[in-house]
Amino acid sequence: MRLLSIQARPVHVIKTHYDDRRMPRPDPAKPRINDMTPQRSTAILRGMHPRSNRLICHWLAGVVFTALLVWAEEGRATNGEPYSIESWQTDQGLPQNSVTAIFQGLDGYIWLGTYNGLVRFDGVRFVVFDSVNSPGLKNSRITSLFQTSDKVIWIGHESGDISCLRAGRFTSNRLPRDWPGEEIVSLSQDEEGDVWALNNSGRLLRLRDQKILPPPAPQKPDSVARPSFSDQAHGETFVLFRGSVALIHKGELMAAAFDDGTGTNYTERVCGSKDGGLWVIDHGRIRKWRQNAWVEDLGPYTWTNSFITAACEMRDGSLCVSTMESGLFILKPGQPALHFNHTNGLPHDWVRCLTDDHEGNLWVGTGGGGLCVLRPTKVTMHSPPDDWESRGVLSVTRAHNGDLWAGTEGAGLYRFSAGQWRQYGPENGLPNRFIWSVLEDRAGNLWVGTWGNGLFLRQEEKFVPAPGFQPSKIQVTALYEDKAGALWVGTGAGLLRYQNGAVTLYGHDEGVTFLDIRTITQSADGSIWFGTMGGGLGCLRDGRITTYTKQDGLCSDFILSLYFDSVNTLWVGTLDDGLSRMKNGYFTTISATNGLANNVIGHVAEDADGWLWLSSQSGILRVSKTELNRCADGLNQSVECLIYGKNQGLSTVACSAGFQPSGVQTADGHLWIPTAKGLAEVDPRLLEKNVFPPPVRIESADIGGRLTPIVSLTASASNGLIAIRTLTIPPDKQRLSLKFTALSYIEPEAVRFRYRLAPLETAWVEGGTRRSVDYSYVPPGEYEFTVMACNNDGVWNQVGDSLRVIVQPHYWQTAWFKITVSVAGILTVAGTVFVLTRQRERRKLARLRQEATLERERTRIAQDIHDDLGASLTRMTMLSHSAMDESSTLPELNATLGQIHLTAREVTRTMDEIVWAVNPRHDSLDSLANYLGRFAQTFLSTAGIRCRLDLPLDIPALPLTAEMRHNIFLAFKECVNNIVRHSKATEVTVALQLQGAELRLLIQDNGRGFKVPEPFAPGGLFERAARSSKGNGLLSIHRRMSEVGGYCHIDSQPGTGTKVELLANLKYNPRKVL
Amino acid sequence: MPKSQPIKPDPIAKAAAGKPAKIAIGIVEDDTRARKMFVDWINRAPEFQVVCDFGSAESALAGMAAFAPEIVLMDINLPEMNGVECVRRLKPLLPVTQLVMLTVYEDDDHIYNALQAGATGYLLKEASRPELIAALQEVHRGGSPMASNIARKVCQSFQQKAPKDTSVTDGLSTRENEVLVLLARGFLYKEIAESLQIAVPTVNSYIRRIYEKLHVQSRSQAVARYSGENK
Repeated sequence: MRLLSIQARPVHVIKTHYDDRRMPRPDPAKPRINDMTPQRSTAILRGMHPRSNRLICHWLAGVVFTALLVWAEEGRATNGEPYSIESWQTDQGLPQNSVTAIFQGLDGYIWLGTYNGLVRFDGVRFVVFDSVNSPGLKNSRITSLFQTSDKVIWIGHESGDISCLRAGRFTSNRLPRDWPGEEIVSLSQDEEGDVWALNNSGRLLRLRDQKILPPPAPQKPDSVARPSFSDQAHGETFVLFRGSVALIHKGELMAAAFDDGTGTNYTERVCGSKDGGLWVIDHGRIRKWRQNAWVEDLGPYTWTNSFITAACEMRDGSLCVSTMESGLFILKPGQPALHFNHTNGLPHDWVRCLTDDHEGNLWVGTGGGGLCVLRPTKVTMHSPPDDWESRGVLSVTRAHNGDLWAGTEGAGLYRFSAGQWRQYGPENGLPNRFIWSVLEDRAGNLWVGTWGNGLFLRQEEKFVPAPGFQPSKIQVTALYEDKAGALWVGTGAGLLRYQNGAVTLYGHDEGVTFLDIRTITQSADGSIWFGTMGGGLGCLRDGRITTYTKQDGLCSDFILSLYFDSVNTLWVGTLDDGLSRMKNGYFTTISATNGLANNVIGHVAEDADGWLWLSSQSGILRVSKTELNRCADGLNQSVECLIYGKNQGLSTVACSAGFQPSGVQTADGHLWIPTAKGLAEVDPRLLEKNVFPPPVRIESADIGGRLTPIVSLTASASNGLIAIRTLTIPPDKQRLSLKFTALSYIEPEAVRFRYRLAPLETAWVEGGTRRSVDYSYVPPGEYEFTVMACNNDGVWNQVGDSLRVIVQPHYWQTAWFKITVSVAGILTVAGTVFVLTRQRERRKLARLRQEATLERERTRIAQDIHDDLGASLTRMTMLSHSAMDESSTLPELNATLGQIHLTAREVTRTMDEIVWAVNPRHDSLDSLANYLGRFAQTFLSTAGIRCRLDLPLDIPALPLTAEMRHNIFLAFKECVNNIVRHSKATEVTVALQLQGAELRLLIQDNGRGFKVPEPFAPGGLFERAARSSKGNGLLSIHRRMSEVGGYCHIDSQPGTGTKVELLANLKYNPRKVL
Repeated sequence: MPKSQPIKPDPIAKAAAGKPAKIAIGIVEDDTRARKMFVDWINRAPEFQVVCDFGSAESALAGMAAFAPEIVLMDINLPEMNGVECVRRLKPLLPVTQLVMLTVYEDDDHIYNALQAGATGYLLKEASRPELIAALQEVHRGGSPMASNIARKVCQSFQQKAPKDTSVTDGLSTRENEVLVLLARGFLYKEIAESLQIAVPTVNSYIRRIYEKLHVQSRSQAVARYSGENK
């Protein structure tokens, strides 16, 4: 594969380009429009292998060209196309291919009337309003549209009905009863501001009060021409009906005539001019009427037998007239009319309506070909009639006489001279048809560099090998004439200097071999600089070659173009990394990352105004040299780059590169660039920037799959106030998609957006060219969505459009809910805790109260026993004793009194015991120990038994239940009783030990001892013991102890005394065990 | 606790019985009949003479000092002000008088409190007339009855206070401590005397001194408590 395409261009789906516009040849009066056929994208020819060169040479040898082909171009010096056409049909979203009415709204949208509804167009998307989705719209068959300055859109229907769209809502107008159901052909506004409707039979209806006016008297009653209002009326509105003209004045029709005395004419169309005059299409001529005189004559009709359907004066002053059968004519004073029809890009010859937009584009509604737009081009493409045999143009040079010579990839050499094209090939002496380089020197010699066959010189209409040029069988890729008049030839074999028939080859002697020289230039000091394919940059100075490569800071070793500017700064265009600037010996790179539209720079030129023109794979680029320098100096991050591509008239964005001369500037300052599809001509002075910041509109929101239209700015917002609209998103909607647009029609696909959903996004998000944005899971809250846009030339609308977005929280996400739930939760917990605590407290309190009550009761009982009973017993004792004294003479009575006395004393002791047991004051271990000690002491000493106590002085103040205390005491008392009754002991030791909560009470005697009954011996049976009389006391001890969770251990053998251990856990709580 | 065996009348006391100077006894007892009976019983004994008797602590405080009895029998359980408090207030008025408590039940706390307040011993009301007279005679001779359980309490009291209050109060001497410990372990006075190879009256004097120290200790504690020093 010899030809390499560097960059693939995406194909736009919506756009339909009519690249193959064909001019209607039979009519010589019509402007010539080039035939162009789609061509493969040929961009850059890389260095070829010598072997493949030979192969192609052999192939070429078989090609025979017999004719010298010359085309003459008539009439005009250039054959460039001043408009590019883009069209849309139903396939692109138009509801119908018949567009009946068209205008650009005050909101910036292009509005269309069709038989399938009202259509709003932003350059990319069509939005259709029909009777189904827009209640209030009378029906979908729309025949006329008109917008008044209050932004209300008036809609005329085929049925004679009238609707209007006001602030996003459609309503139907009331009509008088006698208004016929005929098509409304036109709507307009008179000088008083009243809106009028005109129907097909010429009747007029004033919408304000339903006043009907009959049609004006027809000039030609049998005419079938449709009545119309004057187009682009400025104040005065005329009615045209079958050749006659009438002016609407104060609600009445006033006959009017454009008469300079030549008699009454048949007037077809009237169109307001921006200078206050009127374009009148009348009596076969097109003239401008101003101040009661004809001021301009565009000549006779350029069409025949076709009704005029619309007229429109464009921004540059040219008048556009559309016809029913012959397409569209653009007429400009002093210039031949341009004709557009199905042969050269217009989708249909029946044009129904016209309008121009703010940016100078002409919108055309056709009767069957849908919508199309004519955009003034800034770049003119030039092609010979054979369209370069579909081959790419590689090199171009300017001859001293103004001719242009262009070398092609396979179609030979072309000369463009005074509008005439001539092709040269092998038949003229050229070795083959691959002309890679062509240059005319200052002496007027035309040098032709060929592929594989060296350099040729033109001699009249013939070409001969350059005299003395050796080696002859090489490819010539670059030609340059230095200041001294020497020709420098870049070849696949290195750099050659050719002067006076002598060739000098550079590089070999210096030990540097450059095989593929693609560009050559000379600096102010006379050094020759050359760029190579893969070998970097070379400099020949004083016979020495210096090379610069990527190691030296050059951005790429593949160099396509070189340019020294006036301050001796070298600009290096490369194959893959943009532009390198060499200044003061340093290289700096400016590439796509700095805003350059493309990294392939095939040609660098400078115009008189300080702009650098670059040919690239994205079209022709214009960049400010100052900005480039600032960027290279690090003062700017990026450069602003104007791109001239297809919408500006370029047939392809693939400019040729790699062959010198790669572009040329003609004497008029125009720049000629070879491209894959012909020669492009740019007038640097004509290229104006689109300074119109595009209006931005947020159109609709897709909330979880449901489309919500966002009504455009309301009428009240027209006076400078921006009404912030609000979009409320219910909870549970996880996806939000916002659709927006910007209304710039020069290159809608180049419109870029940036947006921000504040405060979620703090910085602007570069949205590219996509006209929507999706958000997922936006947390509840209030946001402001703002979108800005720039037009094709990067002019931003900084205000943009804003929308307030409120994402409603789920009820469980709301603050009040969270607070409520939190509070409720806290309260519940607190309440539960409170209730439980209170219940427990209450129970505790109740228990304490009960215990306190019990204690009080016990205290009271103890008190009562102590005080009352005690006092009484004391008295009893004393009285019986006193009585005994007095009755000592009566022994029987005395004995009785003695018994009473003793009984009373015993009762006192028992009561003493009861008081101790009952009084809560004694509920402690210490008290128990004391009492046990006292009891043993008293009881045993009475019985004459010595009592030894071993009670620890320091007894912890352990609380002891009355039950436990009493039971231990009773068990102890039983033990002591047993000792006194049975043991015959002389001494008893009572010891109390405490280990933790374990109480151990030891009662040991030195008595006679006994055989311990079985239940108390290990493994013994309890019942058997219970039956023995002796065991009763022991059983009682055991029962007492077990009642308080303790037990007793008796260790005794007859003759060895007895040892009784009473053990109890003081913390024993019978409730817990049970 | 008074000793269970009756003490034989002292020959000297018998000899002095004929003399008009009898041992003056005061009685505080709210039960009128019991008081009359006590008065009757005591006055029948030749060496004792009840010089005053009161039905309440308040009247006793008002009138007792004027009679300056050598021994006072004080019922613990009095209406309004109780006997213990009465002893506490009476002691400064009658510093040499032996205050003996009368009680129906042997309530450790009450008895101990009374001893602390300044009492020298106690008598159970159930006692018969000979027992009462014997006890009075014993007290008059300088005897100080102390039961083992009371001894234990006193011991506890001195052990708790000793480390801290040695400077403030007179601690117990070694002998006194020995006597007290033996007493707490259930030894009788006689046994103590045997064990320590001292005479029984010596044991008595030790115990009286212990009573004194207990009283002083309690008083100094009270003083300290009121002055805030010992908090």
